[in-house]
Amino acid sequence: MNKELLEYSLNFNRRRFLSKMSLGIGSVALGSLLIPDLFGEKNPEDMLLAGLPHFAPKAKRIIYLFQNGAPSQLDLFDYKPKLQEMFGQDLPESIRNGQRLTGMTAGQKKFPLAGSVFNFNQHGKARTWMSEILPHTAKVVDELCVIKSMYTEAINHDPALTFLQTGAQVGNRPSMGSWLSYGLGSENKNLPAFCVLLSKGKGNGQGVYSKLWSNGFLDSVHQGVQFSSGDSPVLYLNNHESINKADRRKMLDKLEQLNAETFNQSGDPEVNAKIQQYEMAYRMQTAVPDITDVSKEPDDIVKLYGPDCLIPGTFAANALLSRKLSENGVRFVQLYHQGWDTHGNLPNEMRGQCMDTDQASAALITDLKQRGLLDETLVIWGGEFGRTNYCQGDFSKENYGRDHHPRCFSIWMAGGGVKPGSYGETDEFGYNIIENPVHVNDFHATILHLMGLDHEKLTYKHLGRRYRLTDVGGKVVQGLIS
Amino acid sequence: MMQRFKTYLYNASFALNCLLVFLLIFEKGLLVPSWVQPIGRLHPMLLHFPIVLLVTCIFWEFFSGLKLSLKTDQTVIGDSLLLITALTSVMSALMGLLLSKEDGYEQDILFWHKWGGAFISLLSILWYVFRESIRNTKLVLGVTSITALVVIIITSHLGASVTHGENFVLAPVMKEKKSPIVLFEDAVIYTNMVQPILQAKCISCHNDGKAKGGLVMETFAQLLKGGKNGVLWDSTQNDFGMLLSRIHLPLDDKKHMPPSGKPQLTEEEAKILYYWIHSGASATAKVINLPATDTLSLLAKSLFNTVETDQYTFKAADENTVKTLSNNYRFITPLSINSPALGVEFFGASQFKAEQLKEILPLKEQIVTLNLNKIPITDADLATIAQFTNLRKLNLSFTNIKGNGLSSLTQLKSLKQLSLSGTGVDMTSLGALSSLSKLTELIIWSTPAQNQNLATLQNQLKNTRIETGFSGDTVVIKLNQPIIENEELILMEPTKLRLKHYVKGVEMRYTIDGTDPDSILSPLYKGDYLMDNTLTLKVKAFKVGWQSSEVVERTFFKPGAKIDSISLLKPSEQDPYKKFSASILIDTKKGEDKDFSNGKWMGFKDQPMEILIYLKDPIDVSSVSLSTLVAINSNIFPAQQIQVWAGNNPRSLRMIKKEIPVQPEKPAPTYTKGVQISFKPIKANYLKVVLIPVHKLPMWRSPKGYKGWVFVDEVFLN
Repeated sequence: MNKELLEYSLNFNRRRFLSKMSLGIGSVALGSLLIPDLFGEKNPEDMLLAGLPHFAPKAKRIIYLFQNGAPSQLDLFDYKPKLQEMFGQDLPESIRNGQRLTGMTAGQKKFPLAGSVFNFNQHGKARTWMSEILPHTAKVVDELCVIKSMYTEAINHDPALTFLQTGAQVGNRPSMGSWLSYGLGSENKNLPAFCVLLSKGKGNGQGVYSKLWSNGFLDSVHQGVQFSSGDSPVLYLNNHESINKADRRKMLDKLEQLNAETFNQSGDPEVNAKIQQYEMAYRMQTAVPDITDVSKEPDDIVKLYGPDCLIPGTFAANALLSRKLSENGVRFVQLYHQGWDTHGNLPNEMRGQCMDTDQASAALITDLKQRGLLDETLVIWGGEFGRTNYCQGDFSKENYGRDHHPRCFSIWMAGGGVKPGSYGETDEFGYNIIENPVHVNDFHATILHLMGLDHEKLTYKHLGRRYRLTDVGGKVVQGLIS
Repeated sequence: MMQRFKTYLYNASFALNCLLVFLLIFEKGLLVPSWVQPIGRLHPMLLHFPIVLLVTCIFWEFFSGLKLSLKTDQTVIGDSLLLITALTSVMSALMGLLLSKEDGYEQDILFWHKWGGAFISLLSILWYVFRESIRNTKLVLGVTSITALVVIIITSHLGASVTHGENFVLAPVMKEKKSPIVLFEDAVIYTNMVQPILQAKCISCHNDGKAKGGLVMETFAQLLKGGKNGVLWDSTQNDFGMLLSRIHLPLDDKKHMPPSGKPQLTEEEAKILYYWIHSGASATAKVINLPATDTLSLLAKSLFNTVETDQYTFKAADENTVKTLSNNYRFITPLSINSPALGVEFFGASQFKAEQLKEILPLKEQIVTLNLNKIPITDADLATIAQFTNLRKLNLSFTNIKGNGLSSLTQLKSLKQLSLSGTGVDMTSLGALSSLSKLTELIIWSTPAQNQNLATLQNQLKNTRIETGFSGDTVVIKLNQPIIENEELILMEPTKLRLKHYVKGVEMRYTIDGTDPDSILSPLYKGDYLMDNTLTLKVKAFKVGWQSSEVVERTFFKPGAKIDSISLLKPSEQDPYKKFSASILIDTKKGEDKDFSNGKWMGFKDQPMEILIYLKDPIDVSSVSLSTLVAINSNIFPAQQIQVWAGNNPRSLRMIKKEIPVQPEKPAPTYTKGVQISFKPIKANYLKVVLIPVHKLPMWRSPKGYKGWVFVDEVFLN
């Protein structure tokens, strides 16, 4: 027995010796590679680990109000009187131009054009068109940049959503928030850099899955942390009933000693990372309840966001919470609001969805502005693709549905160095883009640019090649930047 | 043998040198046929021999100690070295001369390289010829050697410059010369966008010295003049003239510019030239005057800074100081890689002590943004902040500042944005800020100043946008509905009513008589109301400054007469309801709103739901209560008609009541609706309740007029 132990420790020591030695040689080699830095300026790619922007950023944080299910651009932002004129007529083939259809309308023999049932009016100094079901958004329209010329490659929800969130239609790539966490790190070391909030409207919904806020191949610290609406917003964060704060501190101190010992033996940096994460969770125990408590919000704020903002789990409550998280230095707050998949019964469902989201979305802009945070916080509002200009299923002047449409859709952005106004144009049918198209890759490149990151330099090597959020595409859209 | 070989070599060298001199003299007429070109192109391969050999000769002749008087091995080796040097030199020079006739070389440098090469060639042969007399005198040997060394160094360096471009060797370590920063507002299209392109990609051939094709591109006047092939642009032509057509020719076209092998225009540069010429090729037009959506303006966006971008000229702080001062509650970070400017953010009000602000004073010069949102600093601390002289952005929202310390902030001459929301500042204290000339944004939401008259302040701060934010005082918004927390809708015992509302300070009033609650007469919910009977509760919330909420309605059922058995005359035809037994209607288990196919609800479509109730010992029954479901999204509507039949024989019942329930008129979330049908008290063994589903749904729900469902989960008799 003793012999085995001795052999084991000898083996162990030999391995340690060899690995430490190779580490030593490695670090000398690395050091020599780094010598040029001593004289010249630093190479941005080498600096990525420092978590610094490549150049001065316009925005420090992002709040992404994702409207899951794809809201109809033709009933919200992209005003097309021509569709009302041609109501019920068939979509000309010259316009459709071979666009593939989803399984839901592939069997349809006719594609009757459906103008919006809602009235549109011009608002703000820029005279931007807005649908009547967005009365609050219309009031802050001068802060918004409405992009009418977004387009994507996917035609079904899951791939489109995954594409918009991770830059690829297949799963398992890091989410946008994870990339930012990786590129810029956390501002507030007591909170995660990437938080996720979910809510559900009354309309026809589509699922959201945790793969959307996955860290993919990046380190797991960059994963989105989901905040739920119950008593325990972050799962497993609260102390067990039988443990108080002092006990927890004691336990962590002992644990740290043990871990430090392990570190001394193995030298594995993951051990230190673990200690750091325990400490952060401990600090989060104080920080999170402070932030999620909305009971101290003044009446002004309740009126601004609407009284729903006090009801946990609503979009309004999440919008308010997103402001509080962002204000406390969370890099990326991702909201998902379900219920926009209006294949049928669109007018009623859209009204309901807007009731839930319009006031709080606009309130978020106003609220950030009155705190002096709007110029450094980028707010994004939109879905994963657009909806068709023709009706799906049953059709009447008051009631219709719209299918998925990838060729154009509208989103808006505000704050964070974005140029207010509207960008891009679609044709009079609202079917094809005729000016300034913005591909999803371009959208990502522009967002990274606003955050001070060069999308071509924010890379991570995995399975033998470097990956980017924009993969091999994407161009910064200068026209969106102020 | 050896000697004869040497003679051949010498003769060859001599002849080649003569040829070299001849070609140099008649260089103007030299035309290189294509089959000779490959020989010229071998110049870069051969030229390294004479360089190394000549240097070897110099050292050999100088240091090997050879003497003329004695014909030793050293002199033999020296002779051979000199001879080979002479031969390779002249070969290289000739090849070089052939190569120099090809296009694309920088003529200035080539000129001196050519004459340097020729000089070395002649020097080598002369050295060989006069080697003995040169060796004789130390001085002559010294002069020859040093001349050869100097000329070979210069010539080979020039050669390298011709091949690789100027400063090829030192370029990586030389700092790029930074051109002065041009602001977007000041940029002139020609000077700041077009000229840099010409400078980088055209001028090397089209300058005053070289002027290929008779074209010089150094000044605007020269551009206008054009070259020997004509003017550069012409807006009357389809292709807008020569410049644009030449740069857009295929790369292998002889006329393509810049010539192949030279650095090419990038896509963006070509675009800039195109749009500039398109827009009339003005020498003075400014970028700022272009329409914002103009392509040229968009291209310029990426080239120039706008006024907002700050250039920081101060020195960066020590990296370690920054690192040590940054911690979990005080985040200090450079604005970007290589930026000397720092941003500081404080988090965690409970952890804050005033010293923590003083601790960062070593960085006072570098801090440009400071965020103290919600940190309990006071007016006294503003004196510390005033020392951060380069501060651009200061967030003091929701701090404990009252305003009397604001005057110290006047030292912050670069301050652009100041946020004071949620502090105690008022008009008087804000007046102190009037000397901040660069202040562009001042935010005073939720302060005493918010609702004061801003005219005076705005007068003092002419360039400042004052943001007062949202004030809810004058905004009237509808309260959301109260929440009835009682989940059991069947009252097995007297139960306390539990109501909840998220908005603080609301009054909740209720009624049980079917009328809508009003704000004065209806009883106020205090938490002690006991429900003891079947009742339909209506609740509404009220608050001063708010619009009252919508009414929320709920029916509570108290089980009355015991029902001995219940059956359906015909089972439902629909799945899964056809499997359910009628007894679920009297199991006192309330169905949920959300999941109505879980066996607690009975659902019918297309056929009436006929419920037969049997009482062994008839008692006086005066009403039937039904708990029904309305789920518009699932086409579950109230029944179109409800009938109650009674009698002692199930085959001969008579209808005692018929009711037509009210149908919803707009979409609504799913809810349970209690229906109570009252009639003259009757004593019978059998009661039959018939619910007829909606035959055709309203247009707003279903344009095709689908049929509706009817759902019941409990039946009670009273």
